[in-house]
Amino acid sequence: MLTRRDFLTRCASFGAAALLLSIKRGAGPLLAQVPSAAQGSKAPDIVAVKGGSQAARLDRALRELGGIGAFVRKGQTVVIKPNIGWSQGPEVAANTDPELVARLVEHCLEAGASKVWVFDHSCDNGPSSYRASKIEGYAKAAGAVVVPGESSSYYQEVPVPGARSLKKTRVHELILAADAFINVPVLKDHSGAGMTCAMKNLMGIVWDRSEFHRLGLDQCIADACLFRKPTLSIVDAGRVMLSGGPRGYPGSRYGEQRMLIASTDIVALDAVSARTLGRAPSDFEYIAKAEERGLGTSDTSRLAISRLTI
Amino acid sequence: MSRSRNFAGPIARAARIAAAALALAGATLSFLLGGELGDTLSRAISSWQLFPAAARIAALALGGAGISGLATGATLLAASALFGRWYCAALCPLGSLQDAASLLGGARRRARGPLRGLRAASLAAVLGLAALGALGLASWLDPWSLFGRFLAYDIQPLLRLALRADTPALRPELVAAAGLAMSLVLLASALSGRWFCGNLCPVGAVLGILNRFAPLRLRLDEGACVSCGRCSSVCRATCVDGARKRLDPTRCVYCLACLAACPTGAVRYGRGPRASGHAAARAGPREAGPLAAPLSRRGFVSLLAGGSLALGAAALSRRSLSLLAPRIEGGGVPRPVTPPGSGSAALFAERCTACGLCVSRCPAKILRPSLGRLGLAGFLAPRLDYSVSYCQYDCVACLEACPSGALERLALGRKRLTKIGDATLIRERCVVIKNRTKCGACAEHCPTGAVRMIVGESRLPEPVFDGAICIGCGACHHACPVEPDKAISVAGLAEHRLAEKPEAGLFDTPAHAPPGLKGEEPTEASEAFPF
Repeated sequence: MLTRRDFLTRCASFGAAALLLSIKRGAGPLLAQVPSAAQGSKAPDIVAVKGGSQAARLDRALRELGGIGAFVRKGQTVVIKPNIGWSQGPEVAANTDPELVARLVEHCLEAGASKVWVFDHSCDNGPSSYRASKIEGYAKAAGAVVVPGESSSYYQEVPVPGARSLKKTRVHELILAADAFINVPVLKDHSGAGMTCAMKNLMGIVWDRSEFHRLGLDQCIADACLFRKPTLSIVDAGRVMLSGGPRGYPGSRYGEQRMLIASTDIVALDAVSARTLGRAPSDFEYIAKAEERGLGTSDTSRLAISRLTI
Repeated sequence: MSRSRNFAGPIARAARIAAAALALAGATLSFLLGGELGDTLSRAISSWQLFPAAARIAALALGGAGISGLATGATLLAASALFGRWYCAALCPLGSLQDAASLLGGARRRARGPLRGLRAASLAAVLGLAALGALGLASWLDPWSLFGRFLAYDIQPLLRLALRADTPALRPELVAAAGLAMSLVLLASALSGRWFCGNLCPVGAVLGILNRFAPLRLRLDEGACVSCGRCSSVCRATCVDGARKRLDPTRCVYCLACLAACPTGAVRYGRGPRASGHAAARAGPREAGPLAAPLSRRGFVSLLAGGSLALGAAALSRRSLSLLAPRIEGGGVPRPVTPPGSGSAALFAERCTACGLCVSRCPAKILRPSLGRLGLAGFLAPRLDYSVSYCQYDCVACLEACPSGALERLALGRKRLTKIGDATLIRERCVVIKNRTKCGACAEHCPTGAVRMIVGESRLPEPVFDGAICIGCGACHHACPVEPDKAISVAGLAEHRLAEKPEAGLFDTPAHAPPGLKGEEPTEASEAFPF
């Protein structure tokens, strides 16, 4: 029950907070947004933030989701899995933006995480991809431990419960060890799968990717998500590669979306990401296959989407 | 003698030991340290090694184009001819490693006299093999390559194992051979100091001759010598005989132990005695007289003439020697792929000393020593093994490191266009065609767009190959999931050449674009949310 007094108190505190924020950030269209989750009873299913810098988008999205504390508790270990697939610079947008990764590391440490690990099983040579993407440098500077992913000794064989094709596979030990698992893909075109985003990014937690291709790519992408559901997935849709993905070529086309999308529903994330590429979720078989396994919802009309512009 | 001289000796010796330790550490890290620092270090250290430097000069003399790093080789030779054999004292990592081993050998060390004629035979063998274009075989007497192979095939794999890094399996015979060669050299030095340097090393033999005629060098003044014998007791090259007041300039390795030990300053570095006065008449010929076979001016000239003739004859006939030539046309077996900058397998087999530096530096670990694929001449010269990984598009580590001139130092832009192999696509084996499931692993890894996915009859994106822009990097080959016979595989070329530049517009539309979407503008950014 909301009493008049409560209502007035809330209005006053919200106004004060907004005033403080607007002073801190400079004038901006602060209130020109969908009501924040802080007012509602429940966080939205998907948060999409447009404009601003990578770090500002992340800050805003996390606030909307109730803060990083809703996902990472004090003393927990965190593994962050960006896309560091290619030995390409950030401007190519073949990898997750390094600023986004660094800001996420900071958030986790501020929430009291005892350790924040960052790794990917790169497609190109691991160390050069870590270097060229600038993720290694940025993440280390932010306080993360950057762990190699290019060596088979880091991967342990695990069963994948409920899988149709990929019944067992070798998974990076950090995925087994960490308390929280944050998936930070970059959205882009993909010559093999059509699109790479939240689900496809999890192909980088396994050792033998070639197996995915042999057993059926779409089914295995969906199966791999069954092993461990990410605590949170955050999509870098800042500069979106629309063609020539996943590696990126001088002739690749881009859409400057300046967007970040976050959700705990990996299927829903891929569904809205498909629309961002100008495609329908049904164009990608792995989305349907994942939904079939109960991994999430692709019908975004049934979801509460918080669309914010900063 | 003055006191200052007695100080100068030990100080000079300490400085030489410090320089040698630095060079040894640098050479070791050249093979073990990853990243850009390791790349820079390996280039700096390896370009000052004499055997590969001589190979560069020889390659240029035999008509090699694009051979770089000639200045360091010429500088080393000129400096040795003018100032003596300092190379062995400070720059050669195998020399310094031997010094360390002989220290460990300690009291048991009793330097043995040289074996007469062995160094001449060794030098002749090395020059003969080199002239035949079999540097890989000759290099089993080259100190840099012996050191390098030990680090590349014994130490680095151990280190990677300790660091949990994957290492492609090496043939045990190779690991054993590299380790055995090093063990023999070090055993000899534990027993008898710089035995290898005075008896087997071809670099030492040449530098010995240059030192013999160098205007400035280490000398023993007979007049000042009191035959106390301290120099002989510390000499690790058996080149100084205190009792007879003799120092053999063709074997001295400039360790400076005698310089530091000499109480009278009779051992000194500098010019010879002046031509006038009877001290010169007395010192000249005797001082030059070594402990073993003396090398007279006549002997030197005849050695030079005979050697040149033999080398010329061998060099002219070398191409006809099928035993040594690389077997690149083997029936049914794909041609080996040699690193970018090597020009062709044949040239590479001739010029590579198989020191293993590029093998150690390759970040993808795809360079593997070949046992027979590059012929006897190219024994252990590396080839690219795409089962391990593929040649990285933005990497020039191997050709930047190569000290022997076997790999031309192509700029990155040129390396990216250098076609070292060609892919063959066998559609019937392809996962998309065979299983009707999506794949595209080849296309997603291709750095140039030579393999692309285009929606085909299967209604799925199918691989399409364009050889004109393929550079043979092996990315598609490595990524192809079809085992054991890949649907797309890369084989070497008879000669490397330049690939064409990919045309603009190759990636205007996404591979999965439905027919209706083709040619349309992809979604551009807007303020509105796309969902």
